[in-house]
Amino acid sequence: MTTAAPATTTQVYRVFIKATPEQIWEAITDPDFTERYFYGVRIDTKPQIRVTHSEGLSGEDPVFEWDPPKRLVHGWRSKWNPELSVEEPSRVTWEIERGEDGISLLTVVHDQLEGAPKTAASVAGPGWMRVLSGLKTLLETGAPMA
Amino acid sequence: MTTITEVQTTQVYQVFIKATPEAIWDAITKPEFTSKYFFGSEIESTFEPGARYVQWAPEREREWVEGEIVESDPPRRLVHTWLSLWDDDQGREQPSRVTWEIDAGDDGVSLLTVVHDRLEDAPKTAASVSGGWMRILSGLKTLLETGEPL
Repeated sequence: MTTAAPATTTQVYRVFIKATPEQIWEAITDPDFTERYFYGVRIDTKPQIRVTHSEGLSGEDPVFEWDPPKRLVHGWRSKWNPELSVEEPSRVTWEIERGEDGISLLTVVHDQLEGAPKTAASVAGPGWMRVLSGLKTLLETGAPMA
Repeated sequence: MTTITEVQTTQVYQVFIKATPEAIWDAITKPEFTSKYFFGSEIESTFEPGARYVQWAPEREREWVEGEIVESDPPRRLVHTWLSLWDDDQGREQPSRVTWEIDAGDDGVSLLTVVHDRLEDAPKTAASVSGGWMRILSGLKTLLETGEPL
């Protein structure tokens, strides 16, 4: 049995949201949504490529799987910090499951972090949970969390 | 599914909530709140160290969870033991421990962290709660931010 380490190489985050999978998919892939919960970053995700824009920094990551509104898999490099951006790319998987009661389960798996220990520490715990908490607030109340 | 996946003996769950620590503390400790996000369960305790901690099934038909308050520091930290009574097999396991921590942010957003640990001698409880905690925390957040249950 292992206990949770501060920064594991496979990180799993979940949140239940009162929204349809289609609404959650749009909030994940449309930059007009992402800038209101993803640390202000505009993220435009298309079937082949994920483009990020934030305060003069921009970047592109490959999209490996595009299956709306259920599953999105893309590469990840932490472009906001020079020390992190030189690490190996990792991988992020978004899974959306429709519930029977109008509530969907969103699961984010950030893995393949073996070659990116600083990124793993940076995104761990509150890093990802602030994003998912903000996404839930935005979809359920129509306003950003902060 | 018969696949047995590894279940962790220290489980950590977090959520950011647009609410004050005091509002979150009330939602954790008052039955009129817990009944709206904790699988319909009403909490009962005086929250004094050594006091009993009970989560009642709806209509108070039976106890779902029983424990003892270890630490209580409103509105920041609550620690209690946990014995799952909703299932006979889990009820025969050793008690585990749940810690609630509330950190105020500078933007009106608080971070709620739940650590469920000391699960080494409660493997069935560990497996059972691992699917439930995020449902509870998601419901608590929705209730505080929208006034309605999830």
